[in-house]
Amino acid sequence: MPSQDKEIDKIFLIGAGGFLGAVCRFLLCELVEGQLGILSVNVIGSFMLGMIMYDTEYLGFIGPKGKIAFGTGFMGAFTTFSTFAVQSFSLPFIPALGNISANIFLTLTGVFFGRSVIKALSSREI
Amino acid sequence: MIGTGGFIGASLRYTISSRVPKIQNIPAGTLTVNLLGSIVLALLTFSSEPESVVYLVNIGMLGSFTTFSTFAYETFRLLEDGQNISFFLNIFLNVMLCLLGVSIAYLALML
Repeated sequence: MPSQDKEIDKIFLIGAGGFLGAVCRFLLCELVEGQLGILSVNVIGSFMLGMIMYDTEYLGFIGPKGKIAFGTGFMGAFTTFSTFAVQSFSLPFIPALGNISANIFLTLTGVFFGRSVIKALSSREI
Repeated sequence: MIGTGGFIGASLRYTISSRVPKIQNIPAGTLTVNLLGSIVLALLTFSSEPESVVYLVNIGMLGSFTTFSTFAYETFRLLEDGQNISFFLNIFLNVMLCLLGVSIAYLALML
């Protein structure tokens, strides 16, 4: 079944991206410890994913395979929600609120900047 | 160890989240993996476990199974498309349900 083969190819690409994404997250979190480490990977990863996703719409520099490997695989694994949730739960109320707000606000800003970079590049090309 | 966990976690995330359809305008696939992953991580974190499991499962697998970047992108997309209610609802649901899941896991281990 060719469609099943394609699905397995996709899953392999995502897995390979996930392998690298998880290792890079660990390395960066070794440098920046605690909540700031998770905040950094989430913001950087959201900015990059913003670029990858809007690239597909405006530039088309990254193909569908690249989008799956780098976007779904790498950035998906590089950023994380589970550690963020457990950390926020373990903090006192006010720092937890700060951690949640910072993650939400800064990752959305990251996506916005990712889109801005791609839009600026695409208007230059015309 | 972390990489292997990341491979498994990311593949599982795709397999599960691509099978969950959007509910109203809410991207429920990402919500599902984030909630499941947060509950399992809480169960493991608040119980004692060997260090090798931490690298493979906690940091590698569950870290990659859940995602913040896709959540941020999908949420931003809702705002861009003028779906203001869905935008706030998606943030609220992800944060509140995952924190609730972690609390329930914590309490379950206390009993």
